[in-house]
Amino acid sequence: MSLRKRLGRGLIAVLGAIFILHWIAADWIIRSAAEKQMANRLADDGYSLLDSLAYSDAEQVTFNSFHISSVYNRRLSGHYYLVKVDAQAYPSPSLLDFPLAVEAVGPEQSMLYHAAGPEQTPLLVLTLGAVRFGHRINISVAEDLSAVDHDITAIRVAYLSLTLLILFSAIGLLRWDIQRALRPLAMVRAELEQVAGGGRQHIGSEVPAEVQPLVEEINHLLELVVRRLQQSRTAMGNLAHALKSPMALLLRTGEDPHFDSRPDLRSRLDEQSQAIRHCIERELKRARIAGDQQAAPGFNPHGEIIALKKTLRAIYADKPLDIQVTAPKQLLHFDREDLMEVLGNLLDNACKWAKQRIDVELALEGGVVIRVADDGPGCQSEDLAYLTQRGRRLDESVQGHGLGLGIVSDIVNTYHGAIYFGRSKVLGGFLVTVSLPLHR
Amino acid sequence: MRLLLVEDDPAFALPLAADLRGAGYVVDTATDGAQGEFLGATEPYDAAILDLGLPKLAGLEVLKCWRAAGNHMPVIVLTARDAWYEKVDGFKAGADDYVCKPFHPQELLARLQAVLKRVHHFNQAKLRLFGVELDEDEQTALIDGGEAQPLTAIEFRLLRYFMLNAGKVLSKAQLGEHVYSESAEPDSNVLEVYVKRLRKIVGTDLIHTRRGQGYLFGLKP
Repeated sequence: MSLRKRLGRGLIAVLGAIFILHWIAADWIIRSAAEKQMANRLADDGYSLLDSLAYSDAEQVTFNSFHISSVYNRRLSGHYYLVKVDAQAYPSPSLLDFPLAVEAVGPEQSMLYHAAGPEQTPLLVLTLGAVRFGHRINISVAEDLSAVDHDITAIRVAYLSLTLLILFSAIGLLRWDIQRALRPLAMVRAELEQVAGGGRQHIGSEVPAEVQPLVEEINHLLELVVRRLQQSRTAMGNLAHALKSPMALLLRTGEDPHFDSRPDLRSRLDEQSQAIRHCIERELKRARIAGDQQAAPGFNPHGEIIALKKTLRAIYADKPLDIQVTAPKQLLHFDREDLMEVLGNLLDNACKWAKQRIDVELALEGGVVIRVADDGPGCQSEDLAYLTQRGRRLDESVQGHGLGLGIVSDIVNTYHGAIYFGRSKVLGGFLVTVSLPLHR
Repeated sequence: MRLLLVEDDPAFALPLAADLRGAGYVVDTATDGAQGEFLGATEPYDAAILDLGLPKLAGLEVLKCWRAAGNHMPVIVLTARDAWYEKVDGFKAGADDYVCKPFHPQELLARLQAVLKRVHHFNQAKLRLFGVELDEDEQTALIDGGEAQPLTAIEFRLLRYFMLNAGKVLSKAQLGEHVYSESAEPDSNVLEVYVKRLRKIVGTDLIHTRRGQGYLFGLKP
């Protein structure tokens, strides 16, 4: 899972939980505030009733509802009272005959609770207890909650939408902030892709302190790889140089007139020194394969193939060769030495065998695809399998030592590419197709 | 024939010089790049044999100096590093041939003779006709001394065929043989497309359509 997703999910979960708790608390506060206000009103009415209690001449406790609102007299108005003197109950006219279930409370006590009213309406009931004139008196005042509930619901919905709006904007802002905070990482990632594709040699973007050591390490390794490749190539070249001069002397020794009387010794010397020479050449060439186009600076394949064509026309100056090149004129990030080795060997082979015409094509079709066709004799299909074998030659009469296709095949294998041999449909001769994948 | 041999390894240079002298050449030797560059620039040699790994001044730099100064003597480059990119770089710098160490002296002598022979009649790389100049090496066309225009392989073959057969009516079948590529199947109206492209490059009045017969390259009679 990506860092951005991980951070995003955590933040959404935390924010969601906080906002849900916050909304529940706020909802409870709104409701309590509304009920508290209602309870105050009920208490006012209740104490007004309590104050109006009087002891009549007939030794009865009476009360007067004149001081409280007339809504208690309108039938089913939603405002009710019930005065209990000992066991005697005096309901308000608005209650009609509904038996309001009230709790009994002790003297100088009060109780606020919910009860069911006429037609199943929810009621908020306040019961006050008192002892007057030697009688236990309970005054219950009730009010219909449904109207208040309606108002509260509207407020709750409005508050819920406000809460959700704040929640979503907070999530949006935080996501944006995470993205902004992680932007250096995205840049590093893009640069890494460029490095892998060969378009870049090191990572240069400014990064946060946490990933700075990582980037430095990668840069260091990239430099190291380039330097190591350079070092090993130089070392190989030097070794080749050092080995070849003694080899040349060895070859010359075979020419010595002292050997004229011993042709068997001369041929043995020649054979063995040639064998050593082939071994050295092949292994040195293999060692020089970069095998990875990472950190390769770009080059123009068209220009390079044209230069190669001139080179071959000079080498085969006594042969009227017609070499036609098709290649894109764009920068290609690939190891130039390896690609030139492939092209050079394939074209050199074609030049050796062609009667006149050679077509070379380099195309970027997913990877690098090279096709070299000639109008020479081609190759028998049963011989095709032997072509890339070490030092193997199918015709000893043409100059060369059979290393060409072998080294091409080594390079192709190092790059995990593919090589196909066949017959050219249009030129009639040999056709080699090499495809080398490009990184990503 | 006077030769310059620039080679730093005496164990290699001395017997090689002896072989060359034995073959009838007058040989001067230089053992480092700076000395070789100086000799090559001041003395009139018929050819030079130049090692690439030289002290003081690298062989490729010596060659570049000579060519930059307008010295066109044939140069055979000797190297131990037998890689194609190096051969190409050598030829880019102006080498005429390339011999990889180690080699038989006979191989070098044969290459030397070939280079000396070809100096004066290098195989024709340019074709000029009706103000169109075709460069075989660069695969480009210059129209009336203008800028070099790059040609694709098919365009080049077709134009060269037209120029080599200027004034003749060429049938579509004859021309069709030059319109092919390994990667694409030939198509009946591809030829017309290519003729149209060539007209855009060389101008419309050089390639004429002969109805029912084919095309003709040349100036209007």
